[in-house]
Order: sequence, then C-alpha cells, then structure tokens
Amino acid sequence: MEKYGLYLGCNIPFKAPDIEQSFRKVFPALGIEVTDLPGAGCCPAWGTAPSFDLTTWCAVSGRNITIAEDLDVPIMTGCNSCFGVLSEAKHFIEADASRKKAVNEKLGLINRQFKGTSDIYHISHVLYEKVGLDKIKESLKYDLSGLKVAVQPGCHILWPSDVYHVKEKNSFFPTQLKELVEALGASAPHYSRLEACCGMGGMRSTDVEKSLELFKTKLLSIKEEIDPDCIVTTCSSCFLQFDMSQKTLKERGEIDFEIPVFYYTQLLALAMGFDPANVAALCVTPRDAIIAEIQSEARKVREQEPLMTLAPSIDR
Amino acid sequence: MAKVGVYVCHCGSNIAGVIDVEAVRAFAEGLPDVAVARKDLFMCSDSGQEMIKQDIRDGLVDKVVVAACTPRTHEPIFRGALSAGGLNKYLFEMANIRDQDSWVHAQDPEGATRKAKLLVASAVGKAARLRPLEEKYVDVTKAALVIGGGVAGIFSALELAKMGFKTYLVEKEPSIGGVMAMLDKTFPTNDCSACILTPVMVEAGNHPNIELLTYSEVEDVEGYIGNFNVKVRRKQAYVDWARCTGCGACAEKCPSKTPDEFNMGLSNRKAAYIHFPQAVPKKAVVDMAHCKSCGGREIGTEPKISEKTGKPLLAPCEKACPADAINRTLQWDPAGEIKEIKVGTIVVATGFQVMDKGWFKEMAPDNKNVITALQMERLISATGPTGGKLLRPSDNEKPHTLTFVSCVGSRDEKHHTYCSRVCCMYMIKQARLIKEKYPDVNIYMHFIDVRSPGKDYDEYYTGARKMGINILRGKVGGLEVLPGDNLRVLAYDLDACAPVEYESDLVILATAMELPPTAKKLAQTLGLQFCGSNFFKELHPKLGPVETSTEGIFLAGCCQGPKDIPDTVSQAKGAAAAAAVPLCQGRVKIEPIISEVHTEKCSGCGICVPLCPYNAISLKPYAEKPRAIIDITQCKGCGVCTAACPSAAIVLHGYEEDQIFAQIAALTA
Repeated sequence: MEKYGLYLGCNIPFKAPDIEQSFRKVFPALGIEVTDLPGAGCCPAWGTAPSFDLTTWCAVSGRNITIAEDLDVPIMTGCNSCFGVLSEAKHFIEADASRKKAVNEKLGLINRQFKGTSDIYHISHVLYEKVGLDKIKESLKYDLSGLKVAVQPGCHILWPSDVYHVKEKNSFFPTQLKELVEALGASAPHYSRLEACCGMGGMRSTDVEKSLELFKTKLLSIKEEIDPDCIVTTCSSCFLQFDMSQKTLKERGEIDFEIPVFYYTQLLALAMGFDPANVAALCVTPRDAIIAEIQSEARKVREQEPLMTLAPSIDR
Repeated sequence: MAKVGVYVCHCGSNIAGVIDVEAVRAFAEGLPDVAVARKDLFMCSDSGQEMIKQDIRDGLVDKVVVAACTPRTHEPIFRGALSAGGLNKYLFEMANIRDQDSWVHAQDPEGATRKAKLLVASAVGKAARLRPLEEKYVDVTKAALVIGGGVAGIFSALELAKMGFKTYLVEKEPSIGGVMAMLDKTFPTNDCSACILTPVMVEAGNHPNIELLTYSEVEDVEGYIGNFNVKVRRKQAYVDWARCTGCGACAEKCPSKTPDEFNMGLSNRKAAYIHFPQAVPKKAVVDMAHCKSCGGREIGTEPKISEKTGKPLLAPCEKACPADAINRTLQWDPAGEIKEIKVGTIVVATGFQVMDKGWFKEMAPDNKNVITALQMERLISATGPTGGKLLRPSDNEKPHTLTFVSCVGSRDEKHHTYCSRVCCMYMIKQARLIKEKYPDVNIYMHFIDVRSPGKDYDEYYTGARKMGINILRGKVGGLEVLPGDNLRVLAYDLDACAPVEYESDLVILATAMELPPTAKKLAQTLGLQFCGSNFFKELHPKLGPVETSTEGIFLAGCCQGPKDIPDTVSQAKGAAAAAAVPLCQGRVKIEPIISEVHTEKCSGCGICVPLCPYNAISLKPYAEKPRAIIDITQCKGCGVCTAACPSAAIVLHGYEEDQIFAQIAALTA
C-alpha cells in the first residue's frame, strides 16, 4: 500500500473538518495509506513569510517537508495554497545551492536538515495519477449519472506550472478534475470562467467587495452557462468562498439561487457510500437535498451476484 | 634582409581615442626589419593607401604591416593597395588594434597601447618572413540551382534564366508558388495575390533556361563555388507526369480524403490531387500515405479480373485518367528517383512556416474558431474552402464580431524575441477586406503597437481606422470558451488603462514566422549558419545581405528573416545578381592560403586523410609509394593536417612554421 503524509494545513481542520474526514475514509478504501505529520506547522501561507522573505519562507516550508522526509513518505495536501507554497518552496530551495545552504543553516538550529527526498502532491494528483480513474469507478456504491457538476480546480494547483511535477496538459483549460468527476458518472461541462479566480485568498482578506465581485462574475458564468446541480472543487479555499459567499449575495438580493458545494473527496465519499454525517456535515449553502439524491436507492450500484457454481471451495 | 613598412591607423577616434598612436609608430620604427613606420587618420582612405603604394614604388618597403581595424573587412583593401603598388598582395599582414584592442580595452589606454605594440611587433615578425603566393583559377559550371519555389525562388530563377544561365528550380511541393500562392490579396494595394503571381509562375514554368524540379528535395551537395555536384530526390508521384495533362479527373473520382495543406487544414483534399487550381506544373500526385488502394488495387500489382466481364478491375483513379498517366500495375519506387546536377552557384530560398496555434495554450488552441492568419487568408480567398465567403469553421455561419491578435509568438521572450514584420500589415489588410465586403461586422484588432514602415503602409493603416475598425493598443491575455464555441477575449487597453472583455465569434492569431524544422538538415548539407533568431545567417547584416559564409551560396526571402513581398522580390533579384557574378566571370579564384604536401618528406602514414574536414586529402602513388596529396579546390586552409603531420611534411601557405614562431617570439619577448 502506498503511503502518504497528510499535510492538513489550517483551513481544512479548523473550518471544514468533514473534508478531513472524507480524506481519512476514501484513501484507505482506495489503497492509499494516510499517515499524519506530527508537529507540522503553517505552510506558511501567502501574505505571511512568502510575501516578504524568500529564505524565511523556504525555511518554514522546509521544516514541514523534513517531517515527511523523516517518515520517508511523500506529502499530500488538500489545500491549494499549501500545495502551491510547499511546491514553490521546494523548487526555490533546490534550484539555488546558496539558498539551500541558508535554509539548512536555519533548520540546523532545530537539528533538522532539508534533503529533498519527499515530493509534494495535491490529493487530486494522488487520485488522478496514483489511484486512477478505473479504481475510483470500481469503488462506487452510488452512480451519479445525470448529475451536472461545475468544476473548480482553483488557481494554485495550476500555477506556476513550471514548478509542479504532476500537471495539466494545458493549465488554461484544465481537465483532471473534470475527468475525476466524470469517473463518478456525473457530467462536468465546460464553462467559460472555469480557470478564473474565485476571489478568495489575499483579495478576500484585503477587499471583500472586490472579492465578491470576482466571485459573482464566476458564479453567474456557472449558473447561466451550465446551471449545474452542484459545484465541486479540490481547493479548500475555493470551497469556503463558494459555500459562504452565495449566502451573502443572496441576502443582498444579488442572486436568487444557491448551488450546493462539495469538496471532491466529499462527493467521492458519498458515492462510495460513506455516512454524510462524517464526510459532508458542515456547510452554509444547504446540500441536504442533493446528498439525499446522491445516496438514494435508485442510484445504488447493483453488485454482481456471486456465481456460487463457479466458486468452488479450494483447499490452499 | 626584409624591408617592412608599418602603417598605424587612427581610425578617427576609434583607435586614437584610446591608443597612443604616435607611441606605437615610434616603437615600430625601432623594430628589426622595419624600414619605415608611418601613421594616418584613416589608412583605408585614398591618401592612406597612396602612402603605402608610394613607399613600394620608391623601393622603401617590400613587406607591409597595417595596424588598424580588422582584416575581416579591410584586408582585401590593403592587399589591393599592395598589388597597385606592384607588390605580391600576400606580402601583407594586419595587426588588429581596433576590434581586438581599442574597442575592448577602452577603459585602459596604457594597457591598450602596450598591447598594440605587441600586436605590431608580432605582425612585423611574421611579415618579414612572408613569401609571395600565387592565385590559381578553376573553370565554373555555368548553371545555377535555386532551392525553394516560392516567390523568392521564382524571381531568383527567372533573373538567372534571363541572364542566360541554365537554372534548376527545386520545390518540395508538387507546384511552385509557395505561401504567396495561398494569400488572398496583398497590402497595401489590395492586388489579388494569385493574379500577380500566376503569370510569373507560368513564365518560370515555360522559360527555356529553367528546369522545374517540383515534388523534389535537395538531398546532398558536394563541391565548392563554381562546381557544386547536387543530388536532388524527386519524390514518387505515382503519376506519369509526361502524360498527365492536369485535368483533375483522378482527383474527382478518388474517394480518400485527408486535410488539405494548401487550405491549412480547413478543408479536405483527395489522396489523388492537384496542389491548387493555378498549379505550375499542373500535374496530379497520388499521396500514397492516404491512398485506400480501392478494391484491393495495391500499387505495383496486377489487377484482379472481373468474373462477370472478364475485364481487369482498375482503381477509380486509373480508370478516370484519360491520358493513361496512372498505371497501378507498374513497379513504382516509393523512394522516387535521384537526379544529379552540376551547378556553379546556389540560391537558397526555402521560406518560412507560421507557428502552430497549439503553442499558445492561453488562446484556446483546441477551439475551431481560433485560427491562424494564414488560415484566415484561405478563408477569405476565392479559391479557399468557402469560396471566399466569410464563414467561421465551427458552424459555417457568418461571424459578427472578429478579433485579430498580433505578436502571437513574436516579440515574446517565451517564443521568439524578433518582430515578424508583416503581421501588422496583413492583419490590417484582412480587416479592411472584410470591412469593405461586410460593413456590419465588428472588428477588434489588438496590437502592442502598429508597425507600418514602408511605402504607402501607414496610409493603409490610418485608412483602416477611418473605416471603423477598432484598433486597441495592448496585449490579449487569453481567450475563454463560451457555449456555442464563441470566445470571450480577455485583453488590456493601454490607452484607456483598463482591462477589456468582450465576446467574439472568430479569433485570428498572427502567429510568428519561423524556419521549418527541415531547415536544419538543409543547413548541414549546405554548410549554412543560423543567426540569433534562428533564420539562415547572411554574410554581413548590412553589406552582405544575400551572401553566406559559404562562397557560392546565396540567400533570398524569408529563410533569411521575416519580410514582406516587395522586400522578398528585391532580395531575390539581388541574390540572383550576386549568384550570377561567378557564372559571368567563368572562373573562380582558388585561395592560395591552403595546405601543400612536400611529397618527398611524406611517409605515407595517412594520418591526415581522415582528419581533413573537407575530404581534400587522398593517398596517391609517388615513386611507387603511397603519398598524401591535397586537392586545391577542396582545401579551405584550416591547417588541421599541417598540425597533425608527424613528418612536418605539410605546409600551410601564409602560416608557415618560421612565421608563426617569429610571432610567438615577438609576443613573448
């Protein structure tokens, strides 16, 4: 069983622990062992060290990476920001010998050393590249045929593509999340602003109105062009924006609809038959109706009856 | 004892601004073998050269050293002065105290002056030991080869043919015409491209001195200026061109379809096809890669006999041909045939390709309504896939909003840093033609800036603005795909300092011009070099724009760099004139600075033979023993054999041992 160190970051455990639960349910079931990274800290997020001191950023990120190195496992994370920050930091350390030396001098103070033996993966990369679409299809208990999904890969899983090991053929027109959704039986039609920013992150922190403007533009493109049953993302920041800001816009009278939002592994866990009370329990935008629809009797995948005559007892 | 004259040049302030010229002259005066040492503001001027000639005539000097700019441009000038003065011109040596001294050591005048003295001493050491050399001549094959049958190649070939020289015109496609034959109209006069090119194509096709070798590629070139032996491979057409009348009946009946290269993939052609309606020569080709071998009629096999009629079952193409030019029973060689030709000079006019839109990931390259400008030419051409109607590829509907994007791959550090030069103008042309025909269509053009230098070009551009074409300064960041295959253009308007977003039905990308990948092989075959922009490199960017560093090989058209049709034709005619010079002279000079074997010293070991990069050395019997001999027409004077010979039997004239050692002694004194 392949083993990955789960780097949770901040948003998922603090704001959406049900997403964390969905990781812990789906990965072992798909043959991926998840181990914790004891003592992991902030990645550190954009707006902190990455915005003012490259070497400090690399040292803090480097410390997190060395925890996985000690366990001899690659890192996987479900947060686009953590994925971007850790991947870029690893790139900056490895691309410049003098920076690597400076980082290791800082890490030496806490008896650590960056070696570069652990790769950084996004959970969607592990699902797409390591698990594979076929295995996902085989694991389903519910078939999502007929459901229409708007996909939201988010920015930091796409850019800067030069420093990522697993990447899209064309980051401007990403297809991996679309294929992951289609593996569940649902459709994921293209909409024009698929690659556009949701307005989360630095903009949300500094100018909520501009953030909401970007979000509304994107949301209207989704609603008008494809009118989906739900929105699915693999970025925890995008998840929070889509989940909480629809309510704001609705209360202001700027929109007259709400579209349920899932993190991809939540939808996958539901399709695999896991209990929504564990894997999809917390949301602002209501999603009870669609969860009931997903796990309805009519959608149950009919398991093939074991052919008793062809399964004789064998003495081994 | 030698009487060396040393002449130190100020080169205006180029040298004198850094180097103490008088100090160098005074130093030279004291060197052994030096008879006179003088200086002048410009040694290459008439008065400067006259000074050298007079000293020779007066019997003061019998060897000459000029300390000046660079032998690259000025050696021939001073050698000429020696000849005029009555001295063998190879009794001349140049000390490079500008390019390799004053220009590079401008911050250190004292050091530069010291270096100049050393360079002069070294040149004097060599000059004192120079021996006169004799120039030899060989006869020239009075024929020319032009590679590439686009507008550049056609005009080069026509000029050479009109001068009376047999000219071979090699083109890889079945017809000559190149990219210009694909264009709709031409800026800034809106002449129909086919209307002005077709008569010239026909003229080239009919000219008694021009032999068209179309559907052919140059495979190998051997030899040197005046006498090139060229192997041309004629690709297999599977049609007897001696019989083919170009009626097109085979293409009509052929059921196999494949994207039409002439229409840039916007329509299909048959496997049996004629390149385009105005093709010269108008001959059919069967593209075997896409032939379905109808009814199991494999090429090179006897036909099956019909059980009903007892007659042979022929493929539709051979059945359709009224001239019996298609016979699938014949054993056609898929490799085609090799034709060997002898020519004196070669003009390379192989043209360019436009970048594929697939490179530009942000520009929705998979969307059918994003096209390259060359596809747009076909889309508005009367001989194009829509018969000249403006219909967009996704649904064959008339587009209402059009977007032109300039500098796609040009002026972009991620792709090519150079300007492709013609995009601004041809986009304006396309926009004007569409606006004239369909005034209701909205046209947006995005430029970094509009480049319209040329006769009547800027008036053509301002005319476009007056016609109501929207011209925006600023780049297009990307395209988003909307339902119905429309596109949202995401751009920036530099004049309004604001982002721009709008929906467009059809987007035209002016992708950069570049050399096709096949150019690399041709460069290796011909010994051509590439410039920084990866086009073929001319000898000198200003003074040798049609010559190459390989003597006897000349350049014309876009293979040397992007240019428009007027510039291409000018360069093509210029290249033809330059290529005709050796043919007119009838003989070419063999450079005397080449290697020679002292046969009596040669042991016949043969070490030199495989070392020679020009295959100039062979072993021949001499007094019944094998001895190395150098073919003076092949030797380029590189000196590799001279350095390698264990018996010191090979001398490189002009760089003899005593001369080199005298230079080293002077430099290390």
